[in-house]
Amino acid sequence: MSAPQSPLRRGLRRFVRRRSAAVACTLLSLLAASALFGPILLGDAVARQDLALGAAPPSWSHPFGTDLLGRDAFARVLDGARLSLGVSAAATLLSLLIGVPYGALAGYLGGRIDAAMMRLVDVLYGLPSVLFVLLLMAWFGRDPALGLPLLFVGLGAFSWLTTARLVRGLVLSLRERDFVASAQISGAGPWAIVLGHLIPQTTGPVLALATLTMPRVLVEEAFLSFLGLGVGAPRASWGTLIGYGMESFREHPWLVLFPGLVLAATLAALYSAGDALRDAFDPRELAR
Amino acid sequence: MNAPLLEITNLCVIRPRPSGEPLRALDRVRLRLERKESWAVLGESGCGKTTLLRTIAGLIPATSGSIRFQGTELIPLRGRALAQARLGMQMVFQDPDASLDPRWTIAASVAEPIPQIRGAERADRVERLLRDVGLDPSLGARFPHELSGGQRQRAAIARALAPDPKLLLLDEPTSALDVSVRAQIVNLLADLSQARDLGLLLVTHDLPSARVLCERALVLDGGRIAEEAPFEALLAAPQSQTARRLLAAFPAAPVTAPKNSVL
Repeated sequence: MSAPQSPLRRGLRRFVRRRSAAVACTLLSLLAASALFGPILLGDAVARQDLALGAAPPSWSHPFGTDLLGRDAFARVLDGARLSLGVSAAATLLSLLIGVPYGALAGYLGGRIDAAMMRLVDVLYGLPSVLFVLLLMAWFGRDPALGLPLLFVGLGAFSWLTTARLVRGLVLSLRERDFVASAQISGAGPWAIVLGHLIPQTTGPVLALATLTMPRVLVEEAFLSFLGLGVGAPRASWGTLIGYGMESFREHPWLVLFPGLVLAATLAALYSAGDALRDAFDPRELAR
Repeated sequence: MNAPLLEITNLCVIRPRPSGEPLRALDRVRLRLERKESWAVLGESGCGKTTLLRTIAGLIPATSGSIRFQGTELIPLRGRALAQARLGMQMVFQDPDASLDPRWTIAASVAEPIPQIRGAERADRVERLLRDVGLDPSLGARFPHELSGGQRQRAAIARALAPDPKLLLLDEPTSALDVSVRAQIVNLLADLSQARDLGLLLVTHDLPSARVLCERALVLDGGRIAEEAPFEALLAAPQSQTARRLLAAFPAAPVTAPKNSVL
């Protein structure tokens, strides 16, 4: 007999067996590794200016070309990965940390508490989130010490709403299942049931949603930075790089092309990983 | 102590309906179950059998009436006090596939009602419980989907026995199982109730199983008691229309076969 396998482990195994998921995960791990270690290996290449060289097209020594100040665009894209991926991963994590317990508790307790908790979510949903973050950044974002944390809080403050709704919906149907009744009769309290029985059942859909939240936050961050309201100089996220490149797009198209391509490839990888996760954790598949 | 194990008086469960009159799911139900006694709750679908069981277990709030378990009134209790008073009764559900958490190992599920017992003692206890219900203790490391339907129901029974209850509430425990497995589970329940001095309250459509397990029968119709009698007397001479209809659905088997070889 083979070793027992938890549904989580079976889902993950099915996930890594899919070719599209394997490609997406490899790409994302490469990006994450280069974001973490790239700037260390490149040393001061990120900031080194070569005004005499100026904006040069891609070459062997500068695979992504150089910008107007003669800085290596490849090093800048790697450094940007750190910010872009970091901010979106942190905001996604925040959305899980708030959204999952919030939604699970609302769904499990039900009744008036659920209604009140979900009204708050509806109200926040109604607010134009990008406008809110724009205002927040316009007011406080000039302070370089506040910029990044604010961006992260601003983006995270709205991204948990969808997570909370999803988890609440799942828990509403899960709490009617007999294993929850069985846990109640055996004396388990609400938190033990929510943490021990309900939240673990939502792993698949929540992971799939997280892979959709992350690219959305990535795009929002790029959009804000493109407008000049995100990460300020001298740091640059992919959005900042694209915005900066747009200023001289006709003369130096590579300054938009490469950060744009990397952003697009990352989004595609995240979406494809999300698709594969959703399929891998499909309950009909898990039953097999 | 002379208090009965379970005493229910004038239990009503009334549910509002969006249109028309509220639904009387249970209407002035009364029952007095002595220690080690086993009762069958019979009736057609929708008569309130499962509602009765779930109300006793505290899963459905009672509208009025009284449920006394081992002398303690349960209805006003909430939270920890209710959980404490209720530990002496455990429930076995119809579908073991749904009553065991698919993400928990069998051993973890069996041990859930006894969080106060830890470490090696906990493992010992789980092993003993699995043996008691006829399962190999090595199955404790497996997940529910890796077991057969009968094994899963045995695991669910082991779990219900974990806190050493005095009363088992059985909600059609055999109806989701194959006929061949059904007999084994019924025999297991009969043996366990003998060995552990358990009271049983069995909701079922399956008269032959009920006959093996239960001494008395309560027949419900539309949330009300239609008849209450010793099981054999009910089979021999049903008084109510509902009971006669139920018996007619099982032509010869319950009446003619000897009591202990029913299935």
